[in-house]
Amino acid sequence: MSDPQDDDVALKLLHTADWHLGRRFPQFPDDVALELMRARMSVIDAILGAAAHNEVDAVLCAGDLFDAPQPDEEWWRPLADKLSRHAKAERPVVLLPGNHDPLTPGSVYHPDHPFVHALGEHVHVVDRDDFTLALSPEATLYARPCRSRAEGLDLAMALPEREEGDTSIRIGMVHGSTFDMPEFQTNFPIAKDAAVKRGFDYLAIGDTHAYRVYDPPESPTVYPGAPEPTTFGERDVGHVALVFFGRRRRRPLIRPERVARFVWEERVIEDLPALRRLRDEDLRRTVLRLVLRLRVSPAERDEVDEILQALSGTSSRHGQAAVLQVDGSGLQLDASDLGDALEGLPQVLTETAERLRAQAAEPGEEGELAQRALYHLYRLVRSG
Amino acid sequence: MRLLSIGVRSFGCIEEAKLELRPGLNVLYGPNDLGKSTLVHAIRAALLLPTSRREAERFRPWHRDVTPEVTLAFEAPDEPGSDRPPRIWRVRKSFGAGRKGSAELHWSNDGEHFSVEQKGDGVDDKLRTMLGWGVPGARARGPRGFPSSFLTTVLLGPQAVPGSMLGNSLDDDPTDSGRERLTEALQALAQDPRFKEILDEAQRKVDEAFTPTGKPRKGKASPLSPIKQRIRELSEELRLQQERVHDSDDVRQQLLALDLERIEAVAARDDAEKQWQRQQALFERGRQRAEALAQVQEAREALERGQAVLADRRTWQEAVERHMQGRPAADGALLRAGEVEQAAAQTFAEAEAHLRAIEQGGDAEAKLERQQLETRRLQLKAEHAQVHERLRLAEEALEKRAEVETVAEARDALAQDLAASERAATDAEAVRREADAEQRLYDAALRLRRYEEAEQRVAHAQEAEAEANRSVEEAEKLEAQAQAIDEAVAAEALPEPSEIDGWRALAEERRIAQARLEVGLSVVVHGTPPAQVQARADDGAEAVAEPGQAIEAQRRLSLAMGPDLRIEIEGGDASARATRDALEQRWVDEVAPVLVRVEVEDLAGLRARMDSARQRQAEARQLRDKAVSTRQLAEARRERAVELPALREALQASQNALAGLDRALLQERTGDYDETELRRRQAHAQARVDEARHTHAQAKSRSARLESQKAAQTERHDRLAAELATVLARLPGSPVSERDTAFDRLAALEGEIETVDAELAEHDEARARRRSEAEAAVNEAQTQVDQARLATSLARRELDERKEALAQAEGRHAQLESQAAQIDEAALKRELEERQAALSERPEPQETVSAESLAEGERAWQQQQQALREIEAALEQQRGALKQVGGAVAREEAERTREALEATKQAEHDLELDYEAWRLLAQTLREAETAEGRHLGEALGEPVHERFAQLTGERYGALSLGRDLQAGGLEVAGELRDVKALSEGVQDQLATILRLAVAEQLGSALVLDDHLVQTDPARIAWFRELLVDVGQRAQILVLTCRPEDYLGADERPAEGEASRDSDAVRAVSLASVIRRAGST
Repeated sequence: MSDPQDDDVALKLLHTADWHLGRRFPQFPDDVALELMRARMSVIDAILGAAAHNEVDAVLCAGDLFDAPQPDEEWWRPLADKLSRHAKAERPVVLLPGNHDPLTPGSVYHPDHPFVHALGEHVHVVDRDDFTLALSPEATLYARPCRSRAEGLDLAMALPEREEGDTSIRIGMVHGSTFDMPEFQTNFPIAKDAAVKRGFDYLAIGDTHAYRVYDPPESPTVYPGAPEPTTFGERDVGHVALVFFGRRRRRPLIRPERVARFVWEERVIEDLPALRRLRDEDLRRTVLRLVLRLRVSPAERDEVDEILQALSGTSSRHGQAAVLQVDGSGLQLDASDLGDALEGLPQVLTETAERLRAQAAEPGEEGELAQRALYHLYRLVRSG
Repeated sequence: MRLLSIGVRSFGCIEEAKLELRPGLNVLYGPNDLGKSTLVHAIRAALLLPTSRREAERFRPWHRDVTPEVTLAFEAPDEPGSDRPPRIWRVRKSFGAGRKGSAELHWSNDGEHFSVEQKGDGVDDKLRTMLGWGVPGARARGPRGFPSSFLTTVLLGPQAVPGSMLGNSLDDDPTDSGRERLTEALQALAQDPRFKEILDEAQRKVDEAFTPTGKPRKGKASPLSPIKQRIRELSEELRLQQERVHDSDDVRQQLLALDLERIEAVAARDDAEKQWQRQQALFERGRQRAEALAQVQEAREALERGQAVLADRRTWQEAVERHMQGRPAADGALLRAGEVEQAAAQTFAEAEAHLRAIEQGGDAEAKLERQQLETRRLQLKAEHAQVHERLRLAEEALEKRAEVETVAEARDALAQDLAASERAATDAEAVRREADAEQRLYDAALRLRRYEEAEQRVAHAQEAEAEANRSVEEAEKLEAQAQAIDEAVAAEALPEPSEIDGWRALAEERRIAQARLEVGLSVVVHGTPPAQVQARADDGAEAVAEPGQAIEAQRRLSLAMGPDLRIEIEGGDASARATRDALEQRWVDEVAPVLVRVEVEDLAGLRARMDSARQRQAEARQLRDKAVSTRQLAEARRERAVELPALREALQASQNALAGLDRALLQERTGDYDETELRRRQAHAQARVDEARHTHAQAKSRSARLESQKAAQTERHDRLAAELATVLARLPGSPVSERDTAFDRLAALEGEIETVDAELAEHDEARARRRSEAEAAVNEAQTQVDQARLATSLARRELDERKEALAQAEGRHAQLESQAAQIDEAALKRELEERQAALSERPEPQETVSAESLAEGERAWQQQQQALREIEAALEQQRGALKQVGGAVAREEAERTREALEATKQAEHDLELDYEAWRLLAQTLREAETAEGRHLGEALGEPVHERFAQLTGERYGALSLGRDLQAGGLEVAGELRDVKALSEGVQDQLATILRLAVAEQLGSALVLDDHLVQTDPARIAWFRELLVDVGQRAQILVLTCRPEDYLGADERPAEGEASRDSDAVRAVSLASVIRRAGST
């Protein structure tokens, strides 16, 4: 593929979607969840920065920019500010309502909503079914909004088809599920050949969080994916799509560009050295989930806690990892050996430990309780 | 636990008593035998003894059948060691077996309004739980006797050998509640600081999550509350989201299903439409061909009709000819048939006449023969009945005769049994009389013994009365002696001990003042004095002071020269001398007269005199105590003597009972037997009497039964004999010969009847045969008549038909002749050929479609069209619904919430396990601590040792208390000595200190009943201070007969008062609050 910069570019677009501003992360502690929510907002600067850097002609935002149709002002207001801050009259930004933030009465995209009023003139909201926008003298955008959270209507097929003799660059933009997605039938399905049938040179879509490009190359259908991951296990996420149309050929060049702040990563730790090695890694931009599957003595448990605290941070110190989530259900404590912790202490404490140790050998929850009790004793003795 | 009041009624020697107690020290005093210890028993019984226990029997008053009652009010928390404010409890018990015993426990927060807590058996369970003194539940199996444990002995111990409780051990307790209570109370005193710190921290964590009763905290008080709240929120959120997902899934499923249906409906509609169109085409082709076919058929039918007319014309012409030819033959046949019919009718009439003759009985001979046979049969039957009756009578007579003989035999056997039974009754009565006499003998012997015992009791009572009088005299003597001692001591008018202390101080001050004047003096006589100089140094003797000789003195020098000159030189300054003089003056004023009066030289002498007086007073007290006990002894003996009149009455009654008996003979016959043997023999005789009575009664009963049976048999025999005579009277001969004759005749008659019956049957059979043959002949003749009539009828019909057919054929032939004249057969054939050619141009369609099929096809198409419209409408409706539900968005949200919920539940479980682990740790720490347990002894041993050392001037080392609080020994001179080796007084003191320490730690009431009786006054004074001090932390009840040991004169109630409160103590004169049984 030749460098798009070398071509005589007729049209440059930045295609993004699925920002999910305001998404909550209930599976995380409140402070961590807040950090992840903020990250979704901060990635907007990276997106608009990429648009400026690449001098695109338009920014196409293909739906699900908000996680809900009526987000709090703390989410729409900063977005309006950012769009204003990066405003450039010749670079329109088009906002498309998706299935998470459909165009409904009272929704954030409704003409009466203060968000719409706060947007600059270069920002266009797709708030009608026959939306069109001239992106350049030879390029036109056709878009149609989602008007509900679920629907069986193929919005791409609902767009106008190319008229005979029309040679302009036709860009389509809708939000929905392609034919290969589960349950696509009810989630604004997009037919496999919709782009071809409707005569689009590029069909910009949004919904799934992974970057995907569907053939044919001369009439591609593209998911840019979410610019910031939303959960563990997502692949090809954290990008926007940069689209270049040359003057000499109609087949667009598409290039994913990474904008995400965080990497979400899950690691399974099965021994203490592996956990120790984490301290040497740069995890500042990693949302890390540690699945602990190891058996430790009380002293080792202390070390585990110490490392986890170093990774997660304290109220006075940032952690090594951007965000840490620990699945400790596989962390087994073997407190039968308290080492020399009880040396020099009253006999009654040794007797207590002996009794708990005998119970700790029992299977099931009884043994588990005794292990924990032993560890409590160990911590109390050590803390003194 | 603190006692508030106690009320006693009819309890042991106490008729009634009521007293209120206060916190701190309560001294309850009164003379011996007033009922002090009974009061303590009442407290113990109220708290510990179930009302129906045998031990309560001892509390019943001696001379009255009344129920002992105790009401005790006290203050205590619901559970031992609980931090909650104590409540006021009131237990009321009546002791006695069955319904006499009752118990109730009430509680109150203000001491005025009480509510029932328990009644009956539950009272003691509740009390024991509340006290936590190591006594098991009232219904638990345990040793007999008064419920006892370490703490019941320590806190409520009865009078016992001083110090005996030092041998008690917690290990002997039936339950661990006492140990746990002590352990809990002594924790602060005994725990290792580090252990305590750890236990406190573990407990703090436990308290975060659990209530004091061990239940998980709820609401905001629980540390799990936020996470539980979070779980509730997430669960609710998830529920709502899942509902949306569910709705969404429903809509999606319906949409998919409807879409599928729509596709199928479109296909079905298209199919129906195609089918209908095809049917329309086929129908049209079929219609056209059918039209051509109808035209061909029409032409063919016209041709066929013409040809048929021509053929018919020929056929009918031939028929006219045939009918005309057959007419004569038919006429002949009719004539012949008439003749045959007449002959058959004649034959039938003859046969019928023959049959009627047979039915009317045949000939006269046959009738006569049958009548004779029937007459003979009737005769035989009559005779057979007569003979059968004779046979029955004979058999009945024989049966009756056998029955009469059987009844006679039975009657005789009963008579024999009756005689035997009468004999047995007579024998039993003889035995009874013999045993009765024996029993009366032993009874008299026992009455004699009772009389002798009564004599002895009277003698004893008389003796007790005499002894009581002697004891009273002795007591009076002792009291006189004590009075004399007291008067002697009073006569000495010795000062109070407090005055001695003041005088000692004065003596000391005097000595010091004197010492201040001892500055040292020296005089030397120089030169030659005009007279001899006499010098006296200090208190020394006068001596001649030689010139140049130095005379040394400490404080005073006295120089005399002749009778007129005396120089007194005294050391010290004026104020010192003034002080000395003042002190001297005080001495002279206050002390010296006393010394003179008492005739002692100094305070030591005075002290010795006072000690002597105190000893004599003590002797006087002992004499009085002895007098009191002697009087009590006298009282007790007098109580025995009180029974004397009753005993004398009993003696008189015994004597009366012996009236008329020959005592010598009685003695001779029973003198060798002791009481037991006499009773045994009396019982044996009584048993024989009873047995004989029983046997006699049985025999008499049997006789009566047999008599009755015998009478019944006799009556039956007579009745049967009469019946037999009646039967025999109806028989001409003996029953046996009559029976045999009748039997033979019956056999002969039955044979003859059979023969007559056979002849009658044969006669009837011959007659029936003849009738049957006549009937067959009649039937045959009838058949022939019918056949002849039928043949005639047929011949007539044949003739009529021929006539009619000829007429029809002639008419039809004329009609056809007319039609045939109008038919052109060739033209008709040409028309047919033309139409067949037109038909061949329209081939037959492959399938025939009817108009109904065509209409059916159209309806099917319209139905499919309608179904499609309905599906599309439903589809549109579901699409509308789809917009209202969450779709994929709802599923994503639900999935996130589910993950969050699972994580939160895991965190909750983790936290719960953590708190459960804290609880396990705290519990295990306590168990280990209890198992270790040594500190109980160590903890209590330390304060006990401190006080004991203080009491004894550190004469002894530490007291060794085991983990079970059993005294292991006392350290003396570096060795551990058994506490039993100490004097009883010291053991008592040590035990009292230990008991006080326990009560102090538990903050509980402690009852000291007549303790420290062998303790000297100085130590008693020390103990009083200790009791007051401990009383600030525990309630103490001292019951004593020596109030002066604990109470100053101003602390005792005045005359007429029951109690008096001072700062440190409440004094109660028990004589004022206890009314003894028998007193007025």
